[in-house]
Amino acid sequence: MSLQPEQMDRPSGSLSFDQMYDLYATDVLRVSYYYLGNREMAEDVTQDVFVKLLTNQPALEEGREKAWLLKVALNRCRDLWRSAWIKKVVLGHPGFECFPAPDEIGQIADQYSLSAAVNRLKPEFKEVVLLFYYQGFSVTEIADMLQIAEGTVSSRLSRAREKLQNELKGDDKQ
Amino acid sequence: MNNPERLREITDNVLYGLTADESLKNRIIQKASVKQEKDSRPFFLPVPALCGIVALLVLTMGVLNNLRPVDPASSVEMKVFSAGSVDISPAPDSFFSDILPDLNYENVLSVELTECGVVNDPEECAELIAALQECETSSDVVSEDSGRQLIIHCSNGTVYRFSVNEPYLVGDQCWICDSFFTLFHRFSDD
Repeated sequence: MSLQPEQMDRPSGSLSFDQMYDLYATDVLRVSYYYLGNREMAEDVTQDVFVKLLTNQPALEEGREKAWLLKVALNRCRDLWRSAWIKKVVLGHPGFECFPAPDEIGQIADQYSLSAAVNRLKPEFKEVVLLFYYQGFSVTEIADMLQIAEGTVSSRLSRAREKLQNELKGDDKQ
Repeated sequence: MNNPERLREITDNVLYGLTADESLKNRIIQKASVKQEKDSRPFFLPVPALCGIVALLVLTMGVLNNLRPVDPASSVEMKVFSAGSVDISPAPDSFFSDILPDLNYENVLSVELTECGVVNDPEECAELIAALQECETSSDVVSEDSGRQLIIHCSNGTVYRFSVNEPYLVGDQCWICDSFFTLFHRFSDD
């Protein structure tokens, strides 16, 4: 048995699976990669998120599709992060790699330090930084996605900025 | 350059080559098809297997009858029912995995939280057990028993039962397991 065409056309809301994949899959993949620091696992998370979209057929409000996808992705990342396996395998060998465009290889060194510093943040700080600065969600939207108070989002953002600043200062000195 | 405000732009450069491509999309469609097929398969138990389960139940009941039953109203100790009862008196500051290292992902059939629901999906069960193993003892005093239980059925016939007072598992020690309960509610709501 395979998925029926109508399921592929409109898994939820007004966007088709293809449209949602084309629009958001790379963002889901990159956010997961930032979180886990491992390409294979980030791809697995992206796969799980879109499989869930296809099989569960959630009723998504128009314009809230991306928020749902990232929420599911972050939940999955958090679960993986907690598991003993990733603590041993990934935390034991941290390393945020770059995948630059061929003509930009020489120019990304200073950009790498910020990306790697974000990757090294603790999960609760990393989540808000990625959603706010990378994905452009508002504090209210993030609070709704992560099921935490807006004040908590704001304070985590503030502390995350502080941590990034301190860490990047350290990088500059080296 | 290293301003978080520029994270979007920087990420587009740094992770330019990390994109969700057609091969990943095809994997997703294939996996979703397999999952749908699996989920729509009719429930079928061959007769020999059914007989085996009945026999196991009879044997298990025999063992359980010899044990002190759980009294939700008074139980503040954690109980484990298996081929015999096990006294659990963990040292303070221990992880759940320290006391039940044999409770592993592969042999769990279902995880039930009374008055809440049952999770049967193997992947979700594995995640729940992983979260459970990460629970730590807590110094909080939880005196009031909610009367609820966490029941874990394993493929070898072992059934683990724990007193629950969310977000705690209550035993000789008290384990704080908020991530486990959050995960359980998410799975049972899906």
